[in-house]
Amino acid sequence: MNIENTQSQMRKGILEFCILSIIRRGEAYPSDIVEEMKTAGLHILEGTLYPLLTRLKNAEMLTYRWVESNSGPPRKYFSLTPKGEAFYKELEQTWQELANGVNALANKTSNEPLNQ
Amino acid sequence: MKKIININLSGRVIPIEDSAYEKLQAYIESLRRYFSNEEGRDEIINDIESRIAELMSEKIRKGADSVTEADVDEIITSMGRPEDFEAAERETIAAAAQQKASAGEETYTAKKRGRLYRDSSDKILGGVASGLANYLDIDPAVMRILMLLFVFTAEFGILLYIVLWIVVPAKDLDNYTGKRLFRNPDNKVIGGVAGGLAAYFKMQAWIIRLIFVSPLLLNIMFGTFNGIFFSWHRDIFPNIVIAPFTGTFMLAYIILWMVLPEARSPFEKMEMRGEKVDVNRIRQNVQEGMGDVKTRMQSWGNEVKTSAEDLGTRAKEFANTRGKAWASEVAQTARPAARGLGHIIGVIFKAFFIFVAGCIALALFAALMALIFGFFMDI
Repeated sequence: MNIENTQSQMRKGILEFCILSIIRRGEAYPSDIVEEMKTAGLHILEGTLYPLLTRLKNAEMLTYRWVESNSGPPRKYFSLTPKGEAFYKELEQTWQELANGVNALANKTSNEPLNQ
Repeated sequence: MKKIININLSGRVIPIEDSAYEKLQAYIESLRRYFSNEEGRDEIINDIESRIAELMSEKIRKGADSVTEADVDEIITSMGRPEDFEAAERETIAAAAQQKASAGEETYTAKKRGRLYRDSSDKILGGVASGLANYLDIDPAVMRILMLLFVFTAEFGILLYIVLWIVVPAKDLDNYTGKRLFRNPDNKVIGGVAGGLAAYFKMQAWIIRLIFVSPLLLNIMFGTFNGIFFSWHRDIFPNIVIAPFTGTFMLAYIILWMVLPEARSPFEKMEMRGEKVDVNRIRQNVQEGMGDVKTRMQSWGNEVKTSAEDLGTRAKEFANTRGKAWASEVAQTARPAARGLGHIIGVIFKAFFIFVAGCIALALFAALMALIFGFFMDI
């Protein structure tokens, strides 16, 4: 067991969830997603984001729109489809359950019996 | 002094240093290889390209004259190299192996040497040859050639292959890094085999070509001279010695044509010449380079077809232009000459046509092979 493996495993599982939660708030441009994650302390390579977005789009979770930009050709902005919205809800629920459970376990101070 | 060129990247014209452009091209090629299994590969690459274009035109807008190598390095770092993506994936594999270990199953790390596996990431049939090559740390293409020779010559060759296929476990193995044998599309007459061999052995291509063609040439030569000087004991000495080699060399050529991948990308061309490639660790993609037997055979068949057509037109052209000129020249010199000399010139002329016909026959034979394989693959 090494710590980096475990950390990257943890991150990997919640990556899609994070991306979807950013896009859910409104149309998003990939490099803005990267920036936003960076400010939140979650680092992701742009090169790994594009395939993820394409996969989510091909799974009909996301759709995109060409938006004119003031410099050069239009950019691709991503947004959630109804299917993606439902997918996100499920992920959110799972995340809540996990977060509550994990916090409850990690924050427990001693191994007392539960019903006291 | 640096050369600056203009490129069109995703609809933007960008002035870029020549060396920076090469770097960028290599990077995008490495991504293409990395994502070649991906369904939306082209879309991913397009998205990444247009993002790179955006970053570059931002640099230009801020007042830079052109995009430099340092800029490209910076962009690549922010986008991430395939190795960086791969690192995450490897960790996953290692973690999975550890999970297995804790569950009490047999375990080994992905890169451990000293055990024989079949390579499931690089295979034509069962991955036996590439697995053996990995075990012995040699070029898989060389191993495949040895294997084919063995299978064709030894009595139990095929059986042994099948036994290995059954007995040896499959596994994703690391790529061979080092000088590799390719077919060279930049230096080819038929399939680029001789060109590739020449690059590998650092020899002149014509020497290799001569070696391939020599039995055929000798055969024709002796065959025709037999007609003049040895007509009373035809076929006694030279044909017996040389004739079998003609077939062997032709077969060898065709095998090499089938087995060796074509060096398409700049990386593969560097690998072919034995130059060090720093993105060498990228997984050599099965679908891109090899494909399964069926697609491989189909693409090979197509290649043979175009190559045969190409050769056919070239032979025709040759016969029409240079051949004709030569023939009329021969006829002119032959007329005043003695009858004997005329006869010899006629014989040489005949040899020349047999040679051209031989080339066409070789191409047709290859096409036939492709057809047969294609037929079996369709069943």
